[in-house]
Amino acid sequence: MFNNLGQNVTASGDALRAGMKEANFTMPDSLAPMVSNATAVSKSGSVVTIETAKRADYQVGGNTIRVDKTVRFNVEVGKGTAALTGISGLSAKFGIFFGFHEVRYSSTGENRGNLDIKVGPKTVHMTCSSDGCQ
Amino acid sequence: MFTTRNLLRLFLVCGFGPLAFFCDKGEVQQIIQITSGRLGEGGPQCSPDGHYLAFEYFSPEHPNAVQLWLMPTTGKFSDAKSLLGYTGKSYGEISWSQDSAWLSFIGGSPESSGVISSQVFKINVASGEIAPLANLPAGTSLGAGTSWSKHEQIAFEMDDDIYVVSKSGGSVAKLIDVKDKLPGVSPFYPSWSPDGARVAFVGRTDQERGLYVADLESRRIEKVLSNVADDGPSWFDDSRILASHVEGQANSAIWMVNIRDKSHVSLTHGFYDISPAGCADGKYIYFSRNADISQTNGPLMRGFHIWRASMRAFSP
Repeated sequence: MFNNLGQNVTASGDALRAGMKEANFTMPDSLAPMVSNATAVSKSGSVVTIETAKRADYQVGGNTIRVDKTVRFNVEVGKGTAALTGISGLSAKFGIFFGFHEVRYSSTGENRGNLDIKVGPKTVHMTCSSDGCQ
Repeated sequence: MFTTRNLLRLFLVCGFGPLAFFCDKGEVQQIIQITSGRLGEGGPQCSPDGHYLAFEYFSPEHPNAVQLWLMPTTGKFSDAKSLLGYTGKSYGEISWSQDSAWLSFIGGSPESSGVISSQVFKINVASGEIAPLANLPAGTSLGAGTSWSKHEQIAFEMDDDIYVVSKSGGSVAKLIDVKDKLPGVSPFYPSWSPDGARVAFVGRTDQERGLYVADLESRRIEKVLSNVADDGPSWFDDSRILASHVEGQANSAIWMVNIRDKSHVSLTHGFYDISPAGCADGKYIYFSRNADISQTNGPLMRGFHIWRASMRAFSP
């Protein structure tokens, strides 16, 4: 989705959400708030920047997710793989706020794949299907 | 001579396990694990009278929710009890009052949109009475951490600046204008020095996390350490700060930093150690350790437990 934005573009948050809906693209739950409240998105090379009006905390599936006013990450897409790396401005609260570092997805078949989320010092591994990631 | 007995002694002196002595860390005498909950514990804070340890408890039933627990510093983990159990709300980031009767904390309630509104609270450790200290607008996101000063003010982060509210509550006031002095730096975990003259905090940018000290009289803010971990600092005394320092991909060590000359001493190494806190006039420090950070399945706080290091007496 972010890879298809083009090389140097700027769009509104509404355009981003419309594009995601059109592409039937679903973010992992823990990353969804950064898109749902975005006011603008821009891409320069492989670096995506998402702006929101102000920093906010969200409750997502029992987790507290913090989205800073500016979230930035690199997009890397390969054959059957996609990754958001060098993430800044996104964190999860487990007593302390651990920063998200990277999210990597590798496909293992149609609508199936593995999702690895590096948050704080740990990499959390999830298995994904058409029902979501667990 | 490397007899079996000597090898065994070397293993014990420099080794690992629930009881570990560190051979090259002269300031630390002994390190022991003191909590052993079913999932994890973190954020230890020792009461100023040295009698109690407050900490954040994570249960297997609600692995991502913080509960506040208390245990006597001279007791066992079986003596620990819940002060603020699971309610479905978000809270944590505690700090003791000077009389050891209250804990300040940040609490948050989700609105129907999923946005969390945060406030500063205090809880009486004897009665469990909870009192809000501020009346912040809906949707307010408070940084991380509270810190209760000797002057009975509670510091916290809001909108990239550091604010205070009095222990009796009321209006909040800006204490340190971080946005103006350090553009692009978000202050997390403000921590008053014991004499109330300085506030340390972790400054987060897109690129890194640094430990900063603000002098309240001169209004100067100085960076004293780079590459700190996700947690906050704790003052050991008026000139030295305990902080966690990232070491490689998966390790974090507890460092003691002298703010006068920015020198440091590494107190632990080889594990993922965070959230240090001094206690009992410098005789002990407490911190949260994950001895095997490589586990990739399950809740993030699994495997974090609280450890205590006995300190040798040493001068600044």
